[in-house]
Amino acid sequence: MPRKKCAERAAYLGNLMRLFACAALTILSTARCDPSDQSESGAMFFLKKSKPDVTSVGAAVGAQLVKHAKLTDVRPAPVRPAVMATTRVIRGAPPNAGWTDTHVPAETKLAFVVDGTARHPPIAVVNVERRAEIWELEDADKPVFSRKRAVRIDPKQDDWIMFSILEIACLPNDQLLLAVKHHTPVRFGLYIYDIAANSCNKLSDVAPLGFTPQQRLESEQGFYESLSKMFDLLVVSPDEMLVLFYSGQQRLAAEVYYSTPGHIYAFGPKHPRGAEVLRLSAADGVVESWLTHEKTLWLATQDFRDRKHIKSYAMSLDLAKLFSR
Amino acid sequence: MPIDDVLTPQEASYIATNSYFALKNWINSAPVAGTESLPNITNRVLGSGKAGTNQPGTGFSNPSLGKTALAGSSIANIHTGATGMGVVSGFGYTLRYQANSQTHAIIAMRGTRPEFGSADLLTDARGAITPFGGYGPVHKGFKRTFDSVGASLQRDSALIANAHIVHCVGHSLGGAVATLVAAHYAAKGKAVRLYTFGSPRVGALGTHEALERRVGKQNIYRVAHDLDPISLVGPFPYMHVNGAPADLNNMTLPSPTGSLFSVANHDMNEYMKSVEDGGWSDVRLLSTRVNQENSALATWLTYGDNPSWLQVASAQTLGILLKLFRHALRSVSTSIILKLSALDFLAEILARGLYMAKELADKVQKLLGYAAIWAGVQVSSGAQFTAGVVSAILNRMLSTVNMLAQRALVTSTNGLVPMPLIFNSACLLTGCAPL
Repeated sequence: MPRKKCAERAAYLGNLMRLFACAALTILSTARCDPSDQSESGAMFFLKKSKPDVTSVGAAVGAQLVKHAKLTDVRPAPVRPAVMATTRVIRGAPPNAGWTDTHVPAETKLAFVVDGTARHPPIAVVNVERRAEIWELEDADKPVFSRKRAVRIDPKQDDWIMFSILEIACLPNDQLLLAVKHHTPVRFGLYIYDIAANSCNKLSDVAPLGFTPQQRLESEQGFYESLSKMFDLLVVSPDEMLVLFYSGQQRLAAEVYYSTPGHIYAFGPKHPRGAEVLRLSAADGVVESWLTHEKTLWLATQDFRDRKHIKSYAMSLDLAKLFSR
Repeated sequence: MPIDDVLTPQEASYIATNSYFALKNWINSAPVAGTESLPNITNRVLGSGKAGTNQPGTGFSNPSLGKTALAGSSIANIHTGATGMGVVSGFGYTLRYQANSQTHAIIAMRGTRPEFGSADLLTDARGAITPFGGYGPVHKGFKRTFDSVGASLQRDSALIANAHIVHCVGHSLGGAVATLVAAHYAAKGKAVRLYTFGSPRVGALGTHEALERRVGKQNIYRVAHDLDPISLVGPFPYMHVNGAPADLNNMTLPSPTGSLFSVANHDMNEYMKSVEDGGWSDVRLLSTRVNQENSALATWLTYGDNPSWLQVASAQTLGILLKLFRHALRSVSTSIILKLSALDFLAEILARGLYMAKELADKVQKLLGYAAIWAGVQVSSGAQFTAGVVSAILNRMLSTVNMLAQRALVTSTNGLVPMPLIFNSACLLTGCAPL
């Protein structure tokens, strides 16, 4: 090959490589540059590549997600959990605090009381000034605070300027699911508190539940007690339950958000610390309704990111292996 | 009620949020010109808060006052206002509240709703200045909207005249109009409290000081996320009331997106989440977490002369650059500079011809070099910064901030292309000095 032609080809290839490198750098550097992206990670150096947003089934499930034309017509009777928490309005700070009837923000706080069992006394998770505390009660019905438990919600708790418990739920194996709001800046997290072991572990970051437009309409008609929820529970049997939550939000427009991705975790004797059942991508929607029938989970979801073209889906997942005894 | 005759942060944030429901059919996310029905507004302001399908921010916080100490208040009047070229729509309401033998009038003003059309955005874009009473020059678009609401406010004249305290509340454009409403009643001798969330700057030159004197600095509760693009638009000579970091009621809070310069920081829903958990002392405490010094960040990022983090004209690196300027300006430490952002600073050194001044600290010179790289402006090593260079940097910064400001206000789903938000430009300040 003549030397001139060789040099031309080398120059051409060099230019091509430079162009490719520039394009790759541009793509990499702008990968996380959407100003509406609220995720913390990658905020500074922008070179982190986004993971593909796909729906996935947890390894412990051992079954495939099946899509259907519509949700099953079966509507099983609701199952009552073995233990439930009671929400109380509290005036003052423990140990010198009392129950009251009406919650007046800035004057009263919310507390959550759990009945005692053979393994632990009655417990109160109490919001006090700028923080939350866990107290043992002499009686679940009376505000007699006997002992404050020394427990840290999160190892980074000292960096929080204030935090509060928004809601709680009783999980199997003497555990509580805590939805925690903390500053600064504002973040929400789900934590699992082991009452017997007096220890707390983070399950996930969490965003408000992704209510669909139809659910919001129904809330006006009284079907929903509150739209201010961070998670939902589905009781499969008295000691087995599923938890639904979303770990992030997409900002669709000013003041308009879409909660995603969705997560469903299972808790029961076989999975005391929780097992991931399903991760639901943005394209597969937010859960509008869910139920279990004969150990099969059914979901009706809606992708309403484009309000003019709302997409609805129905899907099922066999949980027989997950919940086998 | 208001503790010590002051609305709580939660009450103020709920009022600022639910003022939007005065706009017809905003309760169903499809606003049109006109005013919502009184029963629907009452439901969203004082009732269950569930009328319609539109729940702000995925319905995390229901901004009805029904479960607050203001539950016993009543709506006196719904206000209309004109934006853009005279398009009239629901703009807010007045609440009457009685407590401890005192009457409180609470005036709520809504912010920009671009889904409603270009009228609101045109108001924001009308950036020329116009005189406002004895206060000084103010933003013309905000003043025109204030004038249009004035006729509606007249219907509450008896209530306001008899009220012991007048509370004025608003978010975004609503915060700007509420500022003028507060100034108006303060000039009439009323005791006034002003609460703004993510408000743009309203007054130019010395107007902010006149407002602070008349209303009282302690009665102005200005809440803003530190990287909310709307609170940065309208740079020098526009100035915020309670704009200095040391002002007790300058409650500049950490942005929900951390160090990311994002449109989401402007959402009222985010402001609600930031302030609804306690009293004003808690909000002040949160504001102490805004790193005014940014010293660790500055040391890290300014190490060496070839900053690898800089990306030309990227919105994210502008956020970092602004934080670095804040750090450098504090080291220069003059009373005027402490109230300014990098945008203000550049505008001011242009306006005052300070770009050649030797007093500028080395740090600022170095930072100007970074800013030139960011703006894609060629400056030879060791050369002086000319007015043209500073002007080019400022124009690039302003266009990025204005782009973000538009995105903060505009929905991405309806295809609406807003008017450019030209609040100010370096050309106006410098006579467009060429490079």
